Amino acid sequence: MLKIVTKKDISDKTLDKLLTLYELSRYDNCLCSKKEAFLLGRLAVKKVICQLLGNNYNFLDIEIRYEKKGRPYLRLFTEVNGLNLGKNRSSNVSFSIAHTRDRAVAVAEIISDGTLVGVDIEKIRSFSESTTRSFLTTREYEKYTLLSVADRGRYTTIMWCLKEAYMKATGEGLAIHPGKIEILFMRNECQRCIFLEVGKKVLAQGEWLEDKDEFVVTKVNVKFLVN
Amino acid sequence: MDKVKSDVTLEKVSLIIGDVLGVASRSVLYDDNIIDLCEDSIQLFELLVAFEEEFKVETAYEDVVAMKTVQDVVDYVDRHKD
Repeated sequence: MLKIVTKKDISDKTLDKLLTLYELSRYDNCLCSKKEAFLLGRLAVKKVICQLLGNNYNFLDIEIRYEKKGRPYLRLFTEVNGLNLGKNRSSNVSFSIAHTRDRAVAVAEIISDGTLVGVDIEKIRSFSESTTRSFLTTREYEKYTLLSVADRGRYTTIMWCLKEAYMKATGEGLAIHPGKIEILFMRNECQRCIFLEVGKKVLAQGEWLEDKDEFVVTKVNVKFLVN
Repeated sequence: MDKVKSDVTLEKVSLIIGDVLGVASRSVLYDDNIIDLCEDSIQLFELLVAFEEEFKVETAYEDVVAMKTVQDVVDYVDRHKD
């Protein structure tokens, strides 16, 4: 499931209804320039998790915390037969959050076979030549050079978003050099692709969409293969 | 002498940060967090590429992404330029 929210979805009452005490302290510690992004991201992910788990949960039953390496994880407030069991870490939901400018997107799925999800959102933009050469593989860059100047920004934005969503799904973030991830587009399926990463055995599929405001949203599913 | 060398490196790092991120290079401080300075992951990656190009240091990518503050960048560059 995927959810996109914008600034218009936030009101003065959002803080009270949305953030647990722990999350409120994190929000208070954010730089001013990052506060809105934090709220948008939380709103998007809590909406999608509520949708996924059913309407028995409300926003304050859901808490996003972070591991030491910065990877977010989910804690759910559980209650059985009227007994408050406190917040327990939920390991059977994979989720991912991304934000840019005035909007955020989140995905969440029940983990059934070890598949994890990642998401990204970016406005279509141009990239510097050195950045483009660095994050695209040789084959991807060759394709880039064949495009018209007008199409290059769209191509590089989609490629970056797909790789970013992949890196988030694997939990590695920018610890993987994006130039080591190869994207292969599926011939008979629009806006879908698979990923190859040097030295890793993964099954990864991605898809993307573009909205009328020229934002690209990408979603990637990753499953690590065991030898 | 080491402080002078670090200050020279800081000045160059600040100029790169200012150029890539569009912030005033004079406002960049040693303990500024690189991630906080960046608007998004694209800016962070552009910064890392710019550091590698400018200083032409042999960088292991995992070392680059491990840099958290401007001080980390300055220290890394000064260590590897010798």
